[in-house]
Amino acid sequence: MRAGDRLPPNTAAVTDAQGANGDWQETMAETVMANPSGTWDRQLRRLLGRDYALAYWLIAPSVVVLLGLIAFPFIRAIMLAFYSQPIGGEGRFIGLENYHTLLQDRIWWLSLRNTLVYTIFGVGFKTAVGLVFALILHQELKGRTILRALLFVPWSVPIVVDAFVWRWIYNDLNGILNYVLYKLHFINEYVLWTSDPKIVLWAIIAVVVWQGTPFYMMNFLAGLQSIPDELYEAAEIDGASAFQSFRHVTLPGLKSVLIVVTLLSTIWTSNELQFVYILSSGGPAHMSEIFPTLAFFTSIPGRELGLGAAVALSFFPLLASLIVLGGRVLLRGAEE
Amino acid sequence: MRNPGGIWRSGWRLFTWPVLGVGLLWTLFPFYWMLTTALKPNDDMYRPEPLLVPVRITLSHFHKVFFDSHFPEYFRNSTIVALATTVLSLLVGIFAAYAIVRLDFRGKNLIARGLIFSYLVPPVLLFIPLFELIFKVGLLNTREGLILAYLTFTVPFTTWLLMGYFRTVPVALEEAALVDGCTRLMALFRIILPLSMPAIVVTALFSFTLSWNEFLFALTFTSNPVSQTVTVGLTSTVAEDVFFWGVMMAASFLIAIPPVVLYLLGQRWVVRGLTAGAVKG
Repeated sequence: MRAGDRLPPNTAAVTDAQGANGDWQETMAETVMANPSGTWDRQLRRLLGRDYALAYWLIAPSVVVLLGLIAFPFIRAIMLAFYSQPIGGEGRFIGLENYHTLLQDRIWWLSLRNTLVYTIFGVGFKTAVGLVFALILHQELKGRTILRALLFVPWSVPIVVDAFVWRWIYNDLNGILNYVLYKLHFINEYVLWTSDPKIVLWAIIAVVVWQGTPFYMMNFLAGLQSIPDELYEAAEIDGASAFQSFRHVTLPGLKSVLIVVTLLSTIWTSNELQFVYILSSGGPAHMSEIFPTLAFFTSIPGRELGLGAAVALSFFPLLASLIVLGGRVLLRGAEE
Repeated sequence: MRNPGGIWRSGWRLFTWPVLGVGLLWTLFPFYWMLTTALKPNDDMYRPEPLLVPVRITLSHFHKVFFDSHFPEYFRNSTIVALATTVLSLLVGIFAAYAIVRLDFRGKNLIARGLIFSYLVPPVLLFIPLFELIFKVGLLNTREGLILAYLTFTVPFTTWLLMGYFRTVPVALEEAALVDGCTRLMALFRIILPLSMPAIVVTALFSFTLSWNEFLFALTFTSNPVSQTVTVGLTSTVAEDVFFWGVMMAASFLIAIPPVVLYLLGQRWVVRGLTAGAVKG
């Protein structure tokens, strides 16, 4: 990110990194003359930037976090995937064997399918429902502020809590959902929401959508509010129907928000293990297993760190492209 | 919003309240159900016909959470870990953001990029190597280990958010101070920070709730009440596949209070915060 680009060009803060042509040199000259060792300082400033001394002190803690707690572990994860590494035991280099094991494992393929279904439908429904509610709330309504605050609650509650509440609602014998649906004659017999292999993944996706929609809604609402009224007025004068103005004014105006939100949410949704972990533990018979839960079960209770790392990295090519894309979009947004 | 086309618009209006009604029911019923479950005596909870409205109210589940469980410890741990993470990441973030936005040094673009990309790296890619690291330095089952791990998501986030805000503080103010003989650090503390108070409060609020709500790291790095937080604590109330729903819902209710209150307070900034300035609005 070109942080300096946004500052007025004549400010002291914006000297280019080489410092070749600043008027600061004149002001510095005095200091340098008075202090012979200043020539070194001057060289270093030319090489590392005008404020290098202070800047490197200020930036040091965050670099320690970035390198020590994120970059190093991340590289370590990639390496681990080439090792057989039980917890607390000796690591043994085994090349691509972990990946080989996974490709022959039915559970891995099942997880791949589930992760894709889970992510695509989760993100898809969240986008659709979020858009409908944003459009509804983007009108003059009584108590709009309160409505917004209320509709936002599921997203602010810890996901563990959300998931447990739904596990109780889904409970097969005493759960309220079965009872209500049965009384309303929507079902003839109680449904095993989290233990029927055909239903479990969809029951979980419903909770994912329930929890995540508020975030989409709020972002879309902010996007809608940034579309100028004049555009709608112009469309009206040109005789556009409501649908046409939605199609040609609202959607283009929402484009950037839509891209950012779905991109970020795809990364977050596909890597969230709490819903599956709590609602079904991946069961029955791995029918709701996704990569994050499989990675956890393999590495920590299963004690195979290497194999677990390989599972966690299974999605990485796709994830990496999303991260790069997402990073670009965020950086561009910051520069605008 | 102006919706031209009379029929369509009135159709949309008719459609509004039913959809909102369903949406509100869908959104809020689970919380109603959580609270009423927490208040029902066990006899009323496991009846063949669940009671939509509780006929008898008991505080025994809450009593159990407070006086006969590990929850006081979980709450203490969560509070300590979330507060420490917040303070540390603010310290790290304020200095880094200031340097990146205002100072001239080599490597600054690289660090800014590193921050945004690490903000997007999901914890699932980090928990295994971090487990190894924390295990090796002997910090498994400690709050310190958790705090270290939580910095991996709060630091990039905090720095990124503060960078965006520091940029909006006019450079001229700081220049004037520098001319008057302020050092850079004095300018940061006397000019930038006071002007950025709203952003700092919101950032703190975020770090706190993100840490409070975190689950995967806590699940991986802690295994006893000495260091477990509320989120993992909740899962450990399940004993041998037996769920004590009354106690669980009472605990869930209590756990949800701090983040809900904080989000309602900071709601306005929440959206802008999470997409970190990419969405204008």
